Amino acid sequence: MTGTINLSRRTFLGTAAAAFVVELRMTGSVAAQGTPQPQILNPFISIEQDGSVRLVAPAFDMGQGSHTSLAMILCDELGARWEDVRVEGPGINSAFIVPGVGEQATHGSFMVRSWHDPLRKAAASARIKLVRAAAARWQVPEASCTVADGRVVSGNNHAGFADLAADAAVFPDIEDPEVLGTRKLVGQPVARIDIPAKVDGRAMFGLDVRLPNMAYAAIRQAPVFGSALEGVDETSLSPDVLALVKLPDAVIAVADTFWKAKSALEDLDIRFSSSENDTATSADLRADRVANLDRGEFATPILSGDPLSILSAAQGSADKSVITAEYDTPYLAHMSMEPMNCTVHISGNRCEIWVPTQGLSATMQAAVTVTGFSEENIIIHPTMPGGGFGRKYETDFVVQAIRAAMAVDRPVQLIWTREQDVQHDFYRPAMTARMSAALSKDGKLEAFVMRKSGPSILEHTLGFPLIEGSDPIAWLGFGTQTGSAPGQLQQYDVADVAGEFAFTPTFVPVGYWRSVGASENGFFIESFIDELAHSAGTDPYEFRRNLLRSSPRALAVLEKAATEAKWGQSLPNGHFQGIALTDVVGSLVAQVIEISVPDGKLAVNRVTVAIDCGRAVNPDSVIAQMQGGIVMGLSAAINERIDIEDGRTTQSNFYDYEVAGLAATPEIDVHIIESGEALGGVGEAAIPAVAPALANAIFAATGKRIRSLPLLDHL
Amino acid sequence: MVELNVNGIAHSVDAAPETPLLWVLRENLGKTGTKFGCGAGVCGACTVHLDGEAVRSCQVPLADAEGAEIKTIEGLSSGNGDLTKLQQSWIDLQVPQCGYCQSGMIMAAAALLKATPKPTDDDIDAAMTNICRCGTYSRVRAAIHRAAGTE
Repeated sequence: MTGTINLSRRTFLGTAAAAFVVELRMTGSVAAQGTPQPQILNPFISIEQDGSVRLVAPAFDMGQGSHTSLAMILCDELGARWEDVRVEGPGINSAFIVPGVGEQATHGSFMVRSWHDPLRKAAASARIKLVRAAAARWQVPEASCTVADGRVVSGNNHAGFADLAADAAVFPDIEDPEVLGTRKLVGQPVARIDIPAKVDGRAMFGLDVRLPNMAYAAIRQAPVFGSALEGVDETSLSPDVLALVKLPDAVIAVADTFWKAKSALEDLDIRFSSSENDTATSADLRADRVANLDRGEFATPILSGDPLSILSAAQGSADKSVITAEYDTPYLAHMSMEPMNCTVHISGNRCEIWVPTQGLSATMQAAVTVTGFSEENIIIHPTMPGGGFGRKYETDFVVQAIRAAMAVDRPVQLIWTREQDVQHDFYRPAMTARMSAALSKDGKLEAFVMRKSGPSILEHTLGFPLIEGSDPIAWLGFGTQTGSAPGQLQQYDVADVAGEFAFTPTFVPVGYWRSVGASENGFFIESFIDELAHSAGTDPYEFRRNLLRSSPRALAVLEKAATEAKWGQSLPNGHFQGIALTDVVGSLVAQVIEISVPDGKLAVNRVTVAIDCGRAVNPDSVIAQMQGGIVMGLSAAINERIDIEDGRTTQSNFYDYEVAGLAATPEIDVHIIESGEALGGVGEAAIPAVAPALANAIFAATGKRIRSLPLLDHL
Repeated sequence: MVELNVNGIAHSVDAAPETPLLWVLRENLGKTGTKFGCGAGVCGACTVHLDGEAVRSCQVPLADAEGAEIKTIEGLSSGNGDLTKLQQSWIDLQVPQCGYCQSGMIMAAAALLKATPKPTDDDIDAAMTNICRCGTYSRVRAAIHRAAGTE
């Protein structure tokens, strides 16, 4: 079934009801002692004495609405009442290790797509146990029982979940329960459970953790990457400082307020060693990447057919043409609004950690390593995060907070300033790519090769060896993830394709940045496809349509965006459009971006986006993720760049690393295609198509092909 | 000791007069709804009202706040669990994502509506310079119009 969701729809289940009382309650705010314990039906689901149904979420909600979506899935399958459902978490439990990933984490747009099936089975199992308890009590066949609105009914017998929960909890889990697939909430726009607490200051983020007798810590890290702490002149040390903690590459001051800790640190004379990176610049790092491409030694993680032979045969052939281009993307910072922070209390051999973390397993491992304690003695309280975008997967700030807490006999909250956050990020790695393709005389794409040079997140951050010379993370968004043939290059119909990698390590810390490798691959591939269309003398939309004849799903997404954007029809005077299609995190996204360039200044007027994520569990959350992702994508494409000078990051705050604001936000028109296929991810899906659609629009407007980001450098 | 009036309640605060109001609100008074984002007056996460004007509390020394009427997100509504029309619009249009910037965003919007009850898009562009990394701006604009009846 194909349908679109009407964006103007503003009635949400939940907000319409005056009795809407569902609130997000985080772990840590556990019920007061002495209250009856909930009946735990399985790791996800328990029933409280008051009849509320508690879902312990397997990962955290960074604002994508994933906790609400999971609660909807649970509610439908269990037969609960929506107003009874509560969400907690994430809880720490081996049952919550992301299927196929091997750790407990929030990343990869996995939350809803990974947990939909396990959660539905858990809910079905819980429902069958409640029925079993009711049937035994009433001496009736299980088949005579129905479940709805938080009650089990059989003839004249009926009982609420709370009444049956203790009996039900005695039964073992049902191995392969029958899933009913009820859809009362799923597919409807449901008001998010976390939102009420976010409009009146009640929402508690990591930075809002308050513990009795808590101290605060500020940190200064070696500004040059690779530099070490040499010494601190403590003669002028403020008496406010409770402890001065020296790490190999940083100094932490602990005081009874953050301002005292920060001020004391600023007044200190701290010496850092010289480093081999002392004179390095972004230009040097780019030169390394280019030199490595010139060297011509590549790993070949992607190969289909024999594109290199086709390319060399086409060179100099009269009836074929070879098109080549070099593309480049910069380092990017995450800039989550809540700076890095972590609160730690160590007493005896017990370590408690309150942290906004995307990497729960990684945090546990880091804590075990630093403290030497066993896992049983480390208690992690994941807090609500003020943005993450991949940065909060890392554990550097957790380790620092533990070290600070080890130095004093009180809980300590470590807070990074924005300057520390910008200068000590794990940046989206800068990459350089050489693209080449062969076109037949009639404009058919016959071979496509992308050679990519840059660092590896796998090697640098995760500490794993490269896989046959390459890093799969760097190739996200190249081949299809939505299971279609052909699928070597997204879903385009080209048999001879290669992706080659020239690993170019760097001293700059690199990490996951929303959509990761796809964030630059989308720009490389979809800009170059546009170049090929123009070389072939074909409209870029028609060029892509011709390549999607065997991929009806991708074609439908492309056509939806083009139709809604009125592609090819007359536009207001001075307006131009660019188009792009991407296939990432299991979802297909097409965007048409309409711009104008009044007085030589870029104005983005309208973005039309179509997404096929299989099915939308909560359509309004899908719309919100498209709207927000497009703003972040526009910001990165137009403005954002981290520079390295003298071995350190040049930028330091929002005034020199500018991110998009309200005034620059265009109209964003979202269309959801319900293909009914496997669930795709949503949180990262909007990003990769933004930069190429925008650069392609600029080409349409000015004839200027922009091959390096940010675009502002060229306007 | 510095005397502060926050959300209509008098407090005596033991902090150095140069300490930014932001940290006093968060640490001395437990008003954690006001957020730290940049410490440079750029992002707006720490926006509060000082005598009815939106200010960035990371740039206001404690001494300058003495004697003023300070209002934080916790004091925007009457405190009985009811919400202002603006906050209700925020829920109706499902504005927040991660939510971290939203206290400051709502305080800036409340000051805008007080000064300009029927704002145009240009008024909103000029007044709403707070940063939201989740990119909730389309809904921020719509929620302000909804609260103002200028949809």
